[in-house]
Amino acid sequence: MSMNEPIFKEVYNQLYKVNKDISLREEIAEWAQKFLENDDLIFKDEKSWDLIMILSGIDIETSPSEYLYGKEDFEKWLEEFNPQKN
Amino acid sequence: MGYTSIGASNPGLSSCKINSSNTTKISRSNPAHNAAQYEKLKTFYRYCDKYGKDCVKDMSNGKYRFYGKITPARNPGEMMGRRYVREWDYINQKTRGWNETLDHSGKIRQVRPDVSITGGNKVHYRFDKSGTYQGEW
Repeated sequence: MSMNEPIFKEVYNQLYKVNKDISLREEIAEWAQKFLENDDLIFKDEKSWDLIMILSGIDIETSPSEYLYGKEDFEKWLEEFNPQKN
Repeated sequence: MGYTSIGASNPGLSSCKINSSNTTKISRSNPAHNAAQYEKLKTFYRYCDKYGKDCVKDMSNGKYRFYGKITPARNPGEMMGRRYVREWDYINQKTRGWNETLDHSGKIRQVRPDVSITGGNKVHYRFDKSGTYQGEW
């Protein structure tokens, strides 16, 4: 499947939307998973790839009623990947 | 990152090769053999760079596993974090992937395959500390 690398701002915004409850984490994880599973897509921007990797797992559960990652993680990643900081 | 020598531990890769359509055997003296090897080597390095940020494991059965870095969780629970694993079968050129959730001692306690493997459903397979299967949801 032909697919282009998303720009970093777009990837970062997905995390922002999850943190602000604008988007469901399942939707964002599914979006990221498409890029993750595309073996032929080569990411030129390492930061985009690292964040795609993170986003693809934000809906991982540790029990049927509990997620592995929470708000604290989202905020930490928003800070870590903040484009204005780097 | 230390790369594994592709095919070094697998006589299947260095002795007889199958072309991309999986129909014609190519002898080692044939230039097509080298071309096929080169393509597989390129694929191997591409997967190393993309999926094998943490390590690469030669499964010695024609498969390689590429391990991503662990994304730690701040949640103070039993699980430490998650990593993504991509497996490449260089004989049939197929890939598949799954998420592994690890506990604080580094043991794999949960596996969630890509939904393409589980018929579009997200399935979490749970294991106890000794690796015994506990169930799924």
